[in-house]
Amino acid sequence: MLGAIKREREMQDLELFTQEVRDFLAEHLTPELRRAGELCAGIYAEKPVGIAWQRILDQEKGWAVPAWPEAWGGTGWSLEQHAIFQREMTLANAPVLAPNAIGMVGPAILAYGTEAQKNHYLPRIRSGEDYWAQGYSEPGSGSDLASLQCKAERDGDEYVIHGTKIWTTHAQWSNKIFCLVRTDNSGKPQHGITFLLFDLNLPGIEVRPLISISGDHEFNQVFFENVRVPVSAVLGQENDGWTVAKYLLQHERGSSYAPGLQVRLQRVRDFAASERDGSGARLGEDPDFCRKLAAAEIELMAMQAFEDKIFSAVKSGEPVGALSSAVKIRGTELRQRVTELAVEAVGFYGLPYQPEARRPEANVAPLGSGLAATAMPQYLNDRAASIYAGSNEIQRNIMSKALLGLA
Amino acid sequence: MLDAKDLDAFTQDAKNWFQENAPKQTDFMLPLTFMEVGTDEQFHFLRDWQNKVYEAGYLGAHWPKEYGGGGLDKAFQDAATRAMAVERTPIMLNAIGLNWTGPLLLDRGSEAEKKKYIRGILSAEEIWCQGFSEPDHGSDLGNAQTRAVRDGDEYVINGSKIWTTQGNYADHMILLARTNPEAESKYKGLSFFLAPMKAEGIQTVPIRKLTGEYGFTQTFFDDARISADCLMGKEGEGWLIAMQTLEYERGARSGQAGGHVMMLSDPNDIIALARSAQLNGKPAIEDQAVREELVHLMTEARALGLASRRDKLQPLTQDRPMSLALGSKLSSTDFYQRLNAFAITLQGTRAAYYVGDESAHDNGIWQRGYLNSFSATIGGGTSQIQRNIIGEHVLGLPKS
Repeated sequence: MLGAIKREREMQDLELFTQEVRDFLAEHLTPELRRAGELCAGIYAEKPVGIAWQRILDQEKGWAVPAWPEAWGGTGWSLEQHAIFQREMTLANAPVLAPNAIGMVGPAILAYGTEAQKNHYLPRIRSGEDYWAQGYSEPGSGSDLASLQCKAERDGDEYVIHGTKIWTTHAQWSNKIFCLVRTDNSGKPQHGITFLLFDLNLPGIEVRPLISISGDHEFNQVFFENVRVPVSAVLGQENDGWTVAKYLLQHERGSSYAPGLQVRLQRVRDFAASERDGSGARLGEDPDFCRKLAAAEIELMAMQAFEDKIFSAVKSGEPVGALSSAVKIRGTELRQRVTELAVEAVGFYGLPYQPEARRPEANVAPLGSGLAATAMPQYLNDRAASIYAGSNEIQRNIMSKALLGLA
Repeated sequence: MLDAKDLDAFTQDAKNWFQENAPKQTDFMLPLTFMEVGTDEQFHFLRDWQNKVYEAGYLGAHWPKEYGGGGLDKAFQDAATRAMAVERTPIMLNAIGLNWTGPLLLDRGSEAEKKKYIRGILSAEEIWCQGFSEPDHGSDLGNAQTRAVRDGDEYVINGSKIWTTQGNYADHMILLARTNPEAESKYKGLSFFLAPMKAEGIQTVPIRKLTGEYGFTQTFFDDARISADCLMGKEGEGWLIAMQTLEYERGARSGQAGGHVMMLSDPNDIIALARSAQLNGKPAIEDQAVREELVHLMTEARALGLASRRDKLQPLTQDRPMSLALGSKLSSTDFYQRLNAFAITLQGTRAAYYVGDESAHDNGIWQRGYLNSFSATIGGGTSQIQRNIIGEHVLGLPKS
């Protein structure tokens, strides 16, 4: 009896919280920010948009870094509140904040940083003063990250860094980088890696754009030529960087895919229901297309149920283990499927190539609005979804070892 | 010179011959591919059939006469092969011999090897199997570890090969083994042998698939001795020779003897299935969604067929030579997986029946085909490897 009353109180509190988040979004998610969120075809919002939104979250509600410890600006929310917050932001099409700082280097510094490092870096991440790039992958080391070669040689009280990092998202906007470097070649590869934190505008650093097939500039290759950083740049211990990297991998609560994909699918449905094609027909009335939409919707509902099940497991302290690989595989493949439906829905609007028109500050309006302008770039960019964050082939290997006991 | 009248006459004779001589219904199920020859009954039936086709002049018709072939232009064998396909005759049994060993020997075998082996390949008197994959080395074949040590005028073989199709029936094996573990590169340490299967120290163990079928075996070599004459080419050339045989498999190199070694699910059969299966009390084919999906599948099947014909006309593939050949396994195995999956959907709850159940549609052949469609995306070069090949050799992307 008491348990039921307690649960009902919890539900009411959560409903109030949901309303609080919705009210905040209604008041502070401006039409410009919402539009910028809609026009973004990349993994996350471009820096100007992202930082603007992060500052609003921080200044209005102190909600920029909700998952951090309260001492450093966290909200102390329950797991459910975190989930509701993420879901409401997604449903409202709020800009997706880059995870590099808030979700990666921030937690790494919280777990492994000295007091000086915490005091210096964490407030600047929260305020948006610093924007971080992630220096992990190299041209020869992607799936096999431990084989990385970017060298850092000790010289007095400095390290001299020489090498290159690739797929550094948003490095063109970043003023800081967290970087895995090789400080020892003698033993196992994992035991010779150090986690460094340093400025990205030091002499010897060159950031070269890698323009995506969509025309967007998300990725870069960063070159380090005899770059000197102080020894204090080490996070944790020298040669123990792999521990920090592993911690981050395990610590990631894992993204939730279903809500965002439901929003995208709805956009496809709305477009197909209103736009007419060259013959005057609406794709939304075509039985074949409706069947595809229905099939996708069913799979998204199943995905939501799957994610809810995992949420319950996390909540009761059960280890998720290799199921996070299953989530990544399903989520990214469904994401790609939705982009394919969007391309089919927009028809000829998929042809014009106008990356400059999708920039928030553009004076040129894209041909076609909303979905019409982003369907093709999104489709093209999302080809990478099954490759980054651990390719789906690697995820299947992980699952087969952990869950099926295969070699 | 190829005389069109001769070819027409031959083609008509072939059609007639196959119509008259193709075996009637058997009271046991024939395997759909050469990889599922699991019973003595199936083996002897198919061996007799291949022998009959060869003696009638419709197998290896374009291989040199002095080794047992027909000495004709390739167009004749193609005509015979088409006649077999149209009549849906049983498969040719000796697939490895006909499609791998034979072309290989004709391309680069010695005179002695050709005289010794070609006729037996065609007549099915000598069955061949393939010893490439090992339990720990499949996709990374270059790391093969089965050892071949020279001892006087013999080689001593130790190790194990797996997925050896027809290993228990085979007389010979094309064997890739390591003769030099210290070689400068792992590839240069491999050698290629035309090895006898029925020698002391060689044991085959049958492997039963998820589908219930036999056909694959694992081969164990325990101090097995083979004559040094079995070496093809020179020590250290094994990798190059193995790669050449894989090109025959991929259809990237021609020279195969003819006939079909696999009966692929006929996309037209799924229309028949859609007519006989019931959905909401009516034939499934009357359902709009089913018709839409059938149209998609038929369109794709047609496109695959046209691509394969286009690939044979060099002027039509100038812009990306090899792209169709290198892409065909990937696209066709993916297609057949989806075709069989749709066949499962069409049957509704009746799909729970399997081969051997009275109530199964078409003897449960779709269910079995569906399960086998997964091995098709793994064996003969996994779909992941196929994508690497396309990426590297067609798109010019950096090596993986």
